[in-house]
Amino acid sequence: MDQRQNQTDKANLSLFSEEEKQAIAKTLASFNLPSGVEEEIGERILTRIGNALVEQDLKDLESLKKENADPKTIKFFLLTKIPNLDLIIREEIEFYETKQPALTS
Amino acid sequence: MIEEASASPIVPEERAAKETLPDRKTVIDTVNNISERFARHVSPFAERQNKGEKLSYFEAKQLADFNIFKAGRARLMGGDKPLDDSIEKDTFATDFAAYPELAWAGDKFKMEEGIPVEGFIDFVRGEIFKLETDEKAIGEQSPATRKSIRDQITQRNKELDLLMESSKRYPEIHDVRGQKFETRKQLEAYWTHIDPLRERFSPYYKGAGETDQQGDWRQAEVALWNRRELKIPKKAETIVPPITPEPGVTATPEPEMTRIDTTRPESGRIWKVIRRIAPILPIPWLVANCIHSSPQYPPSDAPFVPMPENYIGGAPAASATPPVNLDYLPPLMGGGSGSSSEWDGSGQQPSVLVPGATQDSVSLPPDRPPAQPVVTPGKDAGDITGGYKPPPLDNNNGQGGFDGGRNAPGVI
Repeated sequence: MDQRQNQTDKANLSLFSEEEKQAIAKTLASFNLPSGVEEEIGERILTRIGNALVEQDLKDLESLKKENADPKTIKFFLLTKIPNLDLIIREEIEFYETKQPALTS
Repeated sequence: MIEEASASPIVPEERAAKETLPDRKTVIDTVNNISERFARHVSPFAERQNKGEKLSYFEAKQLADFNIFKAGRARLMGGDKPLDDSIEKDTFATDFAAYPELAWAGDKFKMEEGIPVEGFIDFVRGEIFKLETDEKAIGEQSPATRKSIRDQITQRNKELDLLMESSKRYPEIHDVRGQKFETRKQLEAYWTHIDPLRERFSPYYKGAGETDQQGDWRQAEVALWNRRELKIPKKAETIVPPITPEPGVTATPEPEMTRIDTTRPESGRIWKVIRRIAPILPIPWLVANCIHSSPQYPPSDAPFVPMPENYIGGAPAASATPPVNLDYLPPLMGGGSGSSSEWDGSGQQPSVLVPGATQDSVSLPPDRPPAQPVVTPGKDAGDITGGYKPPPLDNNNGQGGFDGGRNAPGVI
């Protein structure tokens, strides 16, 4: 049930503004990525970060937003919760960049 | 002996979620099914590894993930065999004494740990990704095949949900402070060191001047921090029926929770979590800065692609906020970053980082020129900068009275 709701939600809501999509695409332009996956990479990074955060972290992030915290503050905060944040982001990029071995199942 | 950290107290949210938890048999069967698929998937990698062939990054990672799971399962089951209903508990004792280098800790520290399944979760996510790619490639050409793939995706998503609901993060169920965790890290670092597959990931965490041993140590910390342990429901507590007060009896109110809610967002709720964090997290900025702290772009030469100081999610806010004092940033941030006062969303760089400098001491070393974007074959950093030439550095750039986030909510 949740799954279906999630898919519906996902279809109705884009997580990134056009400006953000362009910024991600531009940043990733130098990578050998399939076309059109930039937004998906952003979503996967968000998912992995979301998976690593607990409720209190979300509240703290919302407080940071109210205080207009800058990106470095937010990254610092995230690193205190997710020490391997950079690796996560790199993995998501490399996941698309590396040719995946065929699954046997 | 140091006592094992007690499990987190049940918070109301967890109690509500418990009613829908999968039953014991489903958890065991699902884990066994996934492990069979995972084993088939990595067996060619293991063969090549045994022949001395070099595996790709993801092949090595998947094989290492599977080996970590298999080792944990073998400890729990007393051998390399699938899970079954006979198991009495879902944890096993971590035996320090089995390793000569850590024998001193054998009697002093004992821990009960569960089977690591974080690699399982990544594997199932990879399967879903592969299936979704196949589905897109097929398009509308073959409805029957497409439906078959869609069914498999649905099944995998269910498995993913079950894995998330049936596992807990290591920091949630173990004390990750103090000497005990340091010793546990030492054991993990030792395992990393003796495992050529895992050793390979250590360079990712090796900062300037760090030794292999320190790299292993940091890799171990990250591995434990990222770990998820399988929680198999006990026979008696498979399903907790909802508590309904009898007519005329006032339900006892939930006790006030004094502890912060550490409920981990489970997969069923993840989309709600994502929607909460999406407007907050500066994903383009994080991606840009992560790329430039990559080993392919050593910090000493890394070009910096800035976003505005006050950039939060969408368009830049009107008021600027004080910058962070980078002295407080943890080493994983890769040696600092620059700052900018304006950003037009075009990806152009209004400022550039001085290699190795903190924001408090931004100045050019006398014997080296300003940093230039690094161009690596296949990863043309020049594309990122858009041909931007760095302007003269502003020594006062980014100065302010901010305390580096120490007083920010939630920052330890």
